Amino acid sequence: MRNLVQFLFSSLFIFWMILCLLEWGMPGFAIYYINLNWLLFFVIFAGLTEVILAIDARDKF
Amino acid sequence: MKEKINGKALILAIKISLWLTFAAVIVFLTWEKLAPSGQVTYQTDFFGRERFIQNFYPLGKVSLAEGFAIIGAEPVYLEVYSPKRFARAKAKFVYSSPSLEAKFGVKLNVNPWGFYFEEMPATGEEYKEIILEFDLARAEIVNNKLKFALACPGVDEEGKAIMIDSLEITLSK
Repeated sequence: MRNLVQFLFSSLFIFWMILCLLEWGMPGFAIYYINLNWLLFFVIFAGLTEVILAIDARDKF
Repeated sequence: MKEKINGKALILAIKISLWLTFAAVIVFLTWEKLAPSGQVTYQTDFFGRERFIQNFYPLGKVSLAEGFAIIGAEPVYLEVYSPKRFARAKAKFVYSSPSLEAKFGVKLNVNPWGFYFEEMPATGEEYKEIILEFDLARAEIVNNKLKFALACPGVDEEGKAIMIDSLEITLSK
């Protein structure tokens, strides 16, 4: 489960970075279709979930 | 053991699906940006916000009511997203202007106040359709947006307004 959340967080983060770079180079590339702020919210949410799972795994160990 | 293998296979399938989805999104956005058909069309009927056509502004001069844009003062401006540089623009209005003649124009890159205008005649009490065409060779594009202006001297006199029912903008090579 933690492995999957880690993957989700890193994938979403890379995807968000790619979209931001493309948007910076070509204004309008993504923002009319995808709300990049909402995507960042999901990235942060996945990251926080991963941190919580990591703390939980450490405590159990 | 079998359950473990199935679990790993499921996780692998989820990972591959996720990255395929991301790749498909990037391909779709690239396709939309390149506009390989050579033409894009955007339309608005002024119900709420539109993606590619920013509604008329400044807001104090325009009111939106039940699918109409009511222009009470002038000039007002409009921005349209242009994924790349096109050669021509066609603006199709359905509007009503009982007694006033208006002008609709595209911002040029020749100076800060340069616009190229086309006439929009008075329509009487009816709604009429008009198609205006513009050459975009000297149009100013800022952050991939074209800027248009609607001017109508006399519209801010009492009781006068222009009502726009819908607007369609086609950009083509």
